[in-house]
Amino acid sequence: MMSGDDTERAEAAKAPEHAGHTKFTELTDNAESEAAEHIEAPEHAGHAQLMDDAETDRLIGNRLKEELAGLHVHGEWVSAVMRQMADDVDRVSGADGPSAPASQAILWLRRCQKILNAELEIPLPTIMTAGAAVAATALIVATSWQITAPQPSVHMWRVSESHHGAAVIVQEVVIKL
Amino acid sequence: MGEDISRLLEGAPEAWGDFVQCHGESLLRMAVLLVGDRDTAQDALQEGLLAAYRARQRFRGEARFHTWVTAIVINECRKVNRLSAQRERAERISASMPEPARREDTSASAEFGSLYNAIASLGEQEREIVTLYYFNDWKVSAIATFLGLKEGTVKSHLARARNRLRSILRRIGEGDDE
Repeated sequence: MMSGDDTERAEAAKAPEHAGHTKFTELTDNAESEAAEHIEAPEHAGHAQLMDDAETDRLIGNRLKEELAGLHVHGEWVSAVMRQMADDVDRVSGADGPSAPASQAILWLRRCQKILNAELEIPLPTIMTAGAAVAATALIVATSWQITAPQPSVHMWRVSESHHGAAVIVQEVVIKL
Repeated sequence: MGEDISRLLEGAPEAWGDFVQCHGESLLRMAVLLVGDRDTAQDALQEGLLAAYRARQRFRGEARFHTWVTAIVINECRKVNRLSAQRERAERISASMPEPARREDTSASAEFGSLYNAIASLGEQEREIVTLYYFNDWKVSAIATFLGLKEGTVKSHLARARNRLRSILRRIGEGDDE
């Protein structure tokens, strides 16, 4: 049974269709302390059934988390690249956009190259969190410069399929510098 | 964990780095459950984090920042699932191939365990419900609201999933006893 607070929270909550347009309140407050409420079985369900379901849920939750426990993010790397992204994305792909001074873009792309080279040192698989931002931003810059010469000489950058095109352009841009 | 929200909203590099370091792993694991393989999950996560970073000024403080980002990552998972389904359909049409087995064939199926595989084989909506309930520890009411479903619908999905996962748990238990 939902409490008054739960109802209020639930009514304010909406599944976000667009990043940033989300309107929803805290969904997970007191999740642990409300474990007993976690199971909201029909009222006709017996006490034993409720307890059995609660125990089953506990076991399932624990087991599931165990199964995924081996999946790690390369924290150092992600953190470093996120810093780079935070530092660069707004400046290059933001208001200045394609009209950003070439010197600034070159500076940024040199940083990009540094990141790419650093990434190559890291054992795969790693998460490409900000790599996508780097690639996307480089794509914008490259497009504005009309850089097309496909002569990648840097090491292959492991990217997910959806970013492959952007990564190739990053390579092309980098070798131009 | 109490993030420094003002620093995150400013886009401070250290704050974002710390945020990703703190929450990246659980977000990645959630994404793996939702999309069914590691590479796609990484993709969805990176897109989600980037979207959150770019949308940070629109965060209104009605939820924890972490919850807000979680919702954005879930949306990215939906997007990649849709793209993946479209691509599969296109490939099947172009190659006149029979429908491939879903999800069980992904690389993650061998990497993770029985419960993961059971969840990966569910339809998208049921997978989201099960993931939010068992992995993210959200309450039924919250899941219902987030997904725009009636609580009864969420409970029905969970009851079916629970029975299925319970039997898998028993098999795992029997295997451990042998």
